[in-house]
Amino acid sequence: MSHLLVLPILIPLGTAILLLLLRFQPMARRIVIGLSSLLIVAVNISLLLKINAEGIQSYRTGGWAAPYGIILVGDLFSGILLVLGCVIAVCAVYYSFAYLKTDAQKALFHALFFFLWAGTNGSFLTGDIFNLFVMFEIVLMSIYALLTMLGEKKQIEAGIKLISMGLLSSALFLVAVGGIYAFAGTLNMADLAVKIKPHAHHPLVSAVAMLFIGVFGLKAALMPMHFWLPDVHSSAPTPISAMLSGILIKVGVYAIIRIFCLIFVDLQGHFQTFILTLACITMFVGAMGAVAQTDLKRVLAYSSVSQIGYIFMGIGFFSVAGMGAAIFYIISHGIIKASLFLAAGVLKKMRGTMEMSEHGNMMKISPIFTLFFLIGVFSLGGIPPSSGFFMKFQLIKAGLDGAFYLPVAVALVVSLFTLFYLIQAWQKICLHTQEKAPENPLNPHLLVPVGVLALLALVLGFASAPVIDLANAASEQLFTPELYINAVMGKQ
Amino acid sequence: MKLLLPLVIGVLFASGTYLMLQRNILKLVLGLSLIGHGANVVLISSGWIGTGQVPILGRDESMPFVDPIPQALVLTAIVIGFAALAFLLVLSLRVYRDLKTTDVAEIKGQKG
Repeated sequence: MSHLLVLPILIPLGTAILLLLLRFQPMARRIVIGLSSLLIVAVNISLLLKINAEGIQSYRTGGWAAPYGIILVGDLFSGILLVLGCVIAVCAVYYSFAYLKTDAQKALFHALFFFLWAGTNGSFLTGDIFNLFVMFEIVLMSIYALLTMLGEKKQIEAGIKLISMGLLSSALFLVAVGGIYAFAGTLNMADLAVKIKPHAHHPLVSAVAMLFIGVFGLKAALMPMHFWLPDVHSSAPTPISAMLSGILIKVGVYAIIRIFCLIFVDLQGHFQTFILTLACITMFVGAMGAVAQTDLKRVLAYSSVSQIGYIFMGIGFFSVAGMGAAIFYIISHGIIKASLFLAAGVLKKMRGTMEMSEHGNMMKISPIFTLFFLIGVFSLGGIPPSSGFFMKFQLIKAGLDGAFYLPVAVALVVSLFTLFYLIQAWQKICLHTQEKAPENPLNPHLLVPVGVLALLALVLGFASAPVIDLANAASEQLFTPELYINAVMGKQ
Repeated sequence: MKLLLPLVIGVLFASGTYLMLQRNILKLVLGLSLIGHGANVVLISSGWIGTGQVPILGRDESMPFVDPIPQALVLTAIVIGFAALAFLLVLSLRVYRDLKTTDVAEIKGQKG
């Protein structure tokens, strides 16, 4: 049994504790952060390669056999998300050094950040439904503190919203876990899949599935539960906004995909119309919200809501092609949106505000920034040859193949609005003349992660074929739940 | 007991929801805590058996006993919920000190 699977959780956890101990030694902290970030990247990538070569990996924590102990499972989908998460997290960490002002802030921020990273990796790897709850709570706790640590009024207000949301969703999660435990008497997801299969249409199972859609939908900001996202994502410190929109809302999406491709496989048809309807409304509402905003980070936050709708549309097709498209969408959107949020942070540092009318002239001040921002805008807008084009193309193609004409039509109309609000924002910030000179010069250190992510989005567009193949392979694996169940229950 | 538990759960969720709909931020906190406790009771009742007795130690071997796993789960959930609630209370205190109000609508009005 290889211990590789537990490292993506242990390394960030250990780093976080080490960082707390080293809080008065800035230089030592820098080294620790650098080394352990590289280590996590190496571990996550080698894990993905190993899963790709050898199939689904499982790890028994404490050596307890399958339905009794907590099992960690890595399939292709979780491997992909682990790698995506570490790409965004490394950029956010690098960015935070230049973004945060005082050393005390950095000490606290980085320790919390690594707890957050551990929780995120843990959510992707766990094979136990209650352990998923615990990992979610680690993520949420770190986010509560990271969101409010700078103490701006807007952040405190968003913090109250986020914690209320978090407490409510935890309570519902517990109710759902209680319901499913009373029914099946197990918490291991693979074991649940086996035990629930013969009783898939029992009313309690449907009720629990609905509760899970509520819980994870709340975290992923699916339409009626999206109210908290714009405030939280727009007021968080910028590196955290990038993490939130890039990878953390995907944790909710991941959980929905996981339970519907494993535990509630037979209910897929049952919930299809419901999920597709919510997805279409989410797309539309998010885009309309984004068009109406004057604050750049709020535009991006509403756009995240809208893009989550696209991802849920891919899920709602419940076909291999649709799920593959959704996975590629998750990858591509994560990178682009993180890049755009970090770009917004560069602007905030220059003029101290996110109101687009206060900005302008960026074309003259920094053509490089303008270019990176434009790549992000074109990618999210879906203009070829950026990765954004392929993510939308795959999705639309999967929709047409499955004859879901109405959702496809909504998606196409909404993508026009997407392009509209993004180009408008770009134009206001980069082309419009602005008399007031910026208060601070542009910090080139902040520009590095923006550029890296923007170029990555571009590369992902030019070389999309291998990534799309990987996403489709992950999707095929998701639609053969026997593989997952055998990996967990088989090797005793 | 069979009727009592669902009733308790229902009352906890109902009063929690009612409190959450109030404008006072402290009532929001109390409402969330009641809902959290309701959820804990749901979880613990999932391992409950009619004539149940204590699990593992000091039990009559011939009788069915209560499932200990939900009890362990609830313990975890209580600790996590407690931490989150404490954080929310501190934030509310901070809001009160900054804005001198506990009214959610007024807090919302003071963006800045």
